[in-house]
Amino acid sequence: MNTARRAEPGGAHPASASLRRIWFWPLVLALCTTTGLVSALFSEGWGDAWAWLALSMPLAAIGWCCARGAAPPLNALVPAAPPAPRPHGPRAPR
Amino acid sequence: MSPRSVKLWSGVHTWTSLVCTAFMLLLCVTGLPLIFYDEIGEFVGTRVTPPAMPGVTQRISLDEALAVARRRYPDRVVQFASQDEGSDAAWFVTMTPTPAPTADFRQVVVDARTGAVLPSARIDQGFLWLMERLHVDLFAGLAGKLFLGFMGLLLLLSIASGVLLYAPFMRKLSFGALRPGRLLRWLDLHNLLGIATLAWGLVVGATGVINTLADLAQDRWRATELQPLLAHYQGQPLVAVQEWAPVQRALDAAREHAPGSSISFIAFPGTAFATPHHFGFYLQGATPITGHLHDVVLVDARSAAVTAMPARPWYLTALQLSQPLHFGDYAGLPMKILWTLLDLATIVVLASGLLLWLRRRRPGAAPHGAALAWKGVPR
Repeated sequence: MNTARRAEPGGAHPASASLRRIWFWPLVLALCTTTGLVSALFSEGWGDAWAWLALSMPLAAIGWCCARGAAPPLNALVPAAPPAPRPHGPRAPR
Repeated sequence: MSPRSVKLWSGVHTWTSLVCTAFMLLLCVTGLPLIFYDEIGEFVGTRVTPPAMPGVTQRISLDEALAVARRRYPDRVVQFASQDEGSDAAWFVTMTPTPAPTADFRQVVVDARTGAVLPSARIDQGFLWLMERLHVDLFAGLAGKLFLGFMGLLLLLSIASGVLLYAPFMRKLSFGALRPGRLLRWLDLHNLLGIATLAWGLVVGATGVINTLADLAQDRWRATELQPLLAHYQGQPLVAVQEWAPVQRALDAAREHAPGSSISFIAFPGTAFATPHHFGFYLQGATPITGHLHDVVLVDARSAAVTAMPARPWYLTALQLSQPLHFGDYAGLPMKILWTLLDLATIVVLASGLLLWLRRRRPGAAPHGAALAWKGVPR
């Protein structure tokens, strides 16, 4: 996957790159949640274990962002400036 | 997304949320103790564990247990009876004024070894009962259930519109960025918690809506699946208790008909889960998934002969599977704790949404340049 494509607005496919960036973590968390909810229905042992781990993921993400957000870097103050760097942004899926 | 559709969806998001928020907050708060229904029941005494009696293998018959229950509440009828999973030490008998669906329950716990009534707290009053009524039907029976179901539909619509708005809001933000400034921070927290708990919220919301349709599903099942079986009984009234065959014999017949499954509960003639002419013996399988699915063996109340084991229609399968997915009671205590935390996160989403709406109405409250929906989303 072409990383240059996602990086800069005005690149080859800025819209799809930006969509990828926006939806990567929400999709990962949704996938964790649904597989966790279903796996415990079907299996008692590993199914339950995966459910516990998978359902912890959204909570871990929230906890991580809140902990990190406690001291936001200065440039986060001006999110509206178009080329603002995203120092703590998620890595795009490769 | 065009500015016009952002405006449209943000209108949908605002108004569906506003209508259902108060009720959703109520459901989230009353739902919290209900996650620990069994544990709290044990604590307050509505849930009874019969004392251990090593070496005692004799059991009274189901008929004797029912007779004990009837002596306790002579003016009531037996609606359901059940035993704890994996234990035949006690019968839990539910007594109601009539066989019709009601919230007016009395519980009698009969020790199956001695025939004694085990003391139990009333299940028709107290903390858990109050929480359950507020969570299930707002003291308004079927109308209350359907009303809450409609509120649940609005919640689903509000979640869906929130998801559609997520991308335009996050275009210039990294995942989970929490900007400083009180209002902005609440907005970012609303978006983060909302999107992180999205799948859970959708599943619990949707299964909650399905659960509100339980009574209707049961009615439909009796009307469509059971009617053909009842042609033979045309014109006969409800089988009176005096005409019942020994219930123990009916139980044995049902067990013999479906070896390998255990009896989850028994519904008596005239109740929503049986017919006027049959006992309904509800089976549960031994695997995790079939343990949630109940098939019924209908046993003629007069003759104690098995009439049929009708196939379970799709809507009852959906209903029965949506119960664990709503209750979060199918993967032990860790799952209940996770359910609690996700519920708390949902409360924050609801409350922050309400807060943002209230603040937005106060002129000048929004910080300069705030990317709030009503101020103009980055295009």
